[in-house]
Amino acid sequence: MRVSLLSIQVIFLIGLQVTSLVVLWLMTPLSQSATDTFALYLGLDLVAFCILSYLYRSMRNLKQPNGVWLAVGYLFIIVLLVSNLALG
Amino acid sequence: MTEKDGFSERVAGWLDSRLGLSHPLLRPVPQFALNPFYWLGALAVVAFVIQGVTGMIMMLYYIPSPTQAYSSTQYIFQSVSNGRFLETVHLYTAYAMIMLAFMHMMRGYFVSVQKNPREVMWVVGMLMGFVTLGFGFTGYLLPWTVVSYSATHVGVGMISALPQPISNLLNFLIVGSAGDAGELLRFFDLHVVILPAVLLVLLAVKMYMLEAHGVADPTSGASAEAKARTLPIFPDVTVYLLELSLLFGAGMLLISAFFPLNLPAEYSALTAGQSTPQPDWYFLWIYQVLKVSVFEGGGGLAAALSVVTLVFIVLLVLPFIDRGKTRELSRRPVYVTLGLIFVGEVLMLSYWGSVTPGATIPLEQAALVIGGTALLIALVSLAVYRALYSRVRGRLQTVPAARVSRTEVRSGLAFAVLVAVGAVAIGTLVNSVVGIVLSGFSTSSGELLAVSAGTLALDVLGTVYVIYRLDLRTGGIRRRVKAFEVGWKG
Repeated sequence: MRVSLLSIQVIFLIGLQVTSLVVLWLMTPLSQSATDTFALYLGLDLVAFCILSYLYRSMRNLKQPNGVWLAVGYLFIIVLLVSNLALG
Repeated sequence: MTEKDGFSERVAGWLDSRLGLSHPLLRPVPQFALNPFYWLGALAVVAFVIQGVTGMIMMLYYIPSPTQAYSSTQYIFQSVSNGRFLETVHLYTAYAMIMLAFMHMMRGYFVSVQKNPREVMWVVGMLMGFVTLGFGFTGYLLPWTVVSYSATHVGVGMISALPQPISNLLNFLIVGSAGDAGELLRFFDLHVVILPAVLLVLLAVKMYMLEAHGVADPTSGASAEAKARTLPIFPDVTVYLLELSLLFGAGMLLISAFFPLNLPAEYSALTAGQSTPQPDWYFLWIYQVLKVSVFEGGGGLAAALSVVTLVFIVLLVLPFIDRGKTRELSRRPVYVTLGLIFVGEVLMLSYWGSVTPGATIPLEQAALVIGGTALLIALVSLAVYRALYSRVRGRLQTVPAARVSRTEVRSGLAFAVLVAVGAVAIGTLVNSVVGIVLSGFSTSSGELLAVSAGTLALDVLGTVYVIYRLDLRTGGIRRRVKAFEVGWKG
């Protein structure tokens, strides 16, 4: 079975969404740092969903996803993860 | 849908068949409109929805009474799960909504979407913009902090300077006669019921007209082929808008995490003096105009409010002022330059207001800075247009290119200088008139009045003359005055 880069991305993004949803579900954000973590994980969830939507739209229109937009999306994810470490 | 369709296609197909999403209720969108700049208004609506959701949750805890407004807000911050997050996101999406609405308006202005047949759409959009500012104004008071109370009362205090019928109406609507308690309740009602209802009605009207007229073509016009390349509203356009909304939401969350909201001190008679009254950033440019020395005092305040009101009226009825048919940026130098001056002045006044809280601005300084900004932008715009025309001239080899003569350049520069001098003269004239009205006639005020009136008169004559010279090339002037055309080489 040939695993395409697209499939890997989709699995990674869904995994990221599930992880962030679990973190969000388990949190009780009352303190400032917990609120920051909540915001950043929710942001992570949204960006992952955004990239998934973009991949879906590209597939639907039989177009190759634009590498620059994908790079921007993944960079955003990295920024959110690093911010989480910095603020946490 | 076939057997070979993937999982996502099957899900989309299922949703479509059950909900009728691809039923042609909404017209397809041209492919060229899949560009974030076409969706700034939609993102403002997304911000409004986020505010609605966060606001409704906060409403479960907030109590609109002067004695409990602050403590209930503090309770949301400290004891409600995600309370600080909700407050922060609510505030930042409100800021984003105002910013997006402004960008949407200015984009529309520069690409002339307000022209035939979308004039009424523009007017409705402007009314939506005013309602958005109303959200900001009414929402700012609700936490009952010393900052919000003092800033809001700067705005409320201005109402008295408006003409009697308007001030009576506004007093009735937002102040009432029951003191702080009545006022807070009215602000709350306006913020959570009346303004959202008005905005939704206006949004429905605008969406209806958007469906009737469709998305405006690009300024250079769209070929029949480009217009024919359309995408259905579902799933393509819906998914595209979803992507933009998700990115916008993630951006808001990132900003919220880095700049969390902190609640200032509660308003009370003791804390009232601790804060310099200063409106939130989106009203700072107006407030900075009101702080110019010439506008201080009762009559001056009314004059300043008239200037600001005039700006809003011009924006509201813009489609009926700018009647030209062309939409291309390169062929609308005057309107583009005026738009750039407006954006530049708003940014400059807002920044200036943020660094000079509570300070009165001397007239001369205001005239220099405001006039200087306008002049600088006009000159840069003129230079850019000249460079653009030069490039176009270079490309047009077979068609005799229009040449901008030195006389025209000189006349253009003279026009810019005259506009700046006129601005200073008007400012000085208003200053001297207000001085005479408020303090009585004196020799110095009389001299100032005479000099400024004379300068303005000469300036107007000079401007008319320069416009006449600039118009000679087009032949628009039917009755020509030979004596005015000395040195003219058309």
